Amino acid sequence: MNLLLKNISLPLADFSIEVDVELQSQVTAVFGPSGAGKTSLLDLIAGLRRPASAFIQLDNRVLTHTAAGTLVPPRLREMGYVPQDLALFPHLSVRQNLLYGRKSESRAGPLFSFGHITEVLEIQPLARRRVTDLSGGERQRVALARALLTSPRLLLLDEPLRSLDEALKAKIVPYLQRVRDEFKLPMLYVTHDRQEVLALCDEVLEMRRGRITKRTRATARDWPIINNEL
Amino acid sequence: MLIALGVMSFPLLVLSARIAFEQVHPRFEQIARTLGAGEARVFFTITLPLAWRGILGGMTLAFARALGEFGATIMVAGNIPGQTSTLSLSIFQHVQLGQDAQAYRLLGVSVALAFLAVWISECLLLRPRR
Repeated sequence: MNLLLKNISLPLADFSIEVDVELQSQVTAVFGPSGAGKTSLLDLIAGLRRPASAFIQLDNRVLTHTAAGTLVPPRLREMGYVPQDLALFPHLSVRQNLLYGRKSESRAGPLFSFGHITEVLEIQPLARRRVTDLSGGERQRVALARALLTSPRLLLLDEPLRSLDEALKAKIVPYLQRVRDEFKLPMLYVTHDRQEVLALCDEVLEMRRGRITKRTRATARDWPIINNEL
Repeated sequence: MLIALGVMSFPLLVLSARIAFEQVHPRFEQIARTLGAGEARVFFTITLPLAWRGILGGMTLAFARALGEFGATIMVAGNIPGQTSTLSLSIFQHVQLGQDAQAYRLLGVSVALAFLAVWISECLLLRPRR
């Protein structure tokens, strides 16, 4: 995959997001402290926020081009978004949530079929339940499945394991690895947890106050801990 | 008369509806968009279902307000008994004619109705979202 994030500029309250990168790894981590602008960056890529200036291209599709006045709306960007608070629709059942973005079963193909996705994430028995009856780990997997069921070209994950305790994190990481390996989807993974980066990501972008301060391969050797960051 | 009442209550209804819509967390609508929903679908499947309680609560409050309406009604529609007489106007009339007992009775009805309306709107507005 090829994700071009050129001349991205978005003024926020305290600082401005200024990003200019080209991403080609399968799973890229956006790593940084709270308030660094990571979520806003994901929002820009998903088309949920309008930048002051930007050129965003995914593979051969131009999604945002402020100079030309192009801003493809989120519903046409073919991206799956798993936000920090999951945003599972509380008034709909699990099944209704899962199928919300589903266009047609036949067009999805076997990889993204309802059966396959619910099997990989082990959520088949949850279909009839109400969203409020789910445990933390179950909610996480449902949110992930809901994004996958749109057959996206790129998966955006905003701190997916943030609200989970260590035991639960350890349980969910394999699911994420499975998603990475089974669906071979490019992923942008926002987190402030170093272990998650090392376990799941190929490349890491360090982000601080709106800027990418470092870019390296996500291995312990290439990305050592330099100081007490978090 | 209905027009007068409608006009007086309308701003309150619009305000309540707007507040109800704004209280729907924007993240729900945003995620619905990333899932492929157009604006109309987002409104009818996400915003409205999550806001309907607030809107209904607002309508009930608007009704309670209309209940107390006096000035506009008497100016616009007069106070023809049996036709354009409202609770408030009737109470006024009874008091004017010295018919205190009838006035008090209608007053009791008014208070009960207003109390009921506020109670219903509180239930709708305060009940935690499913």
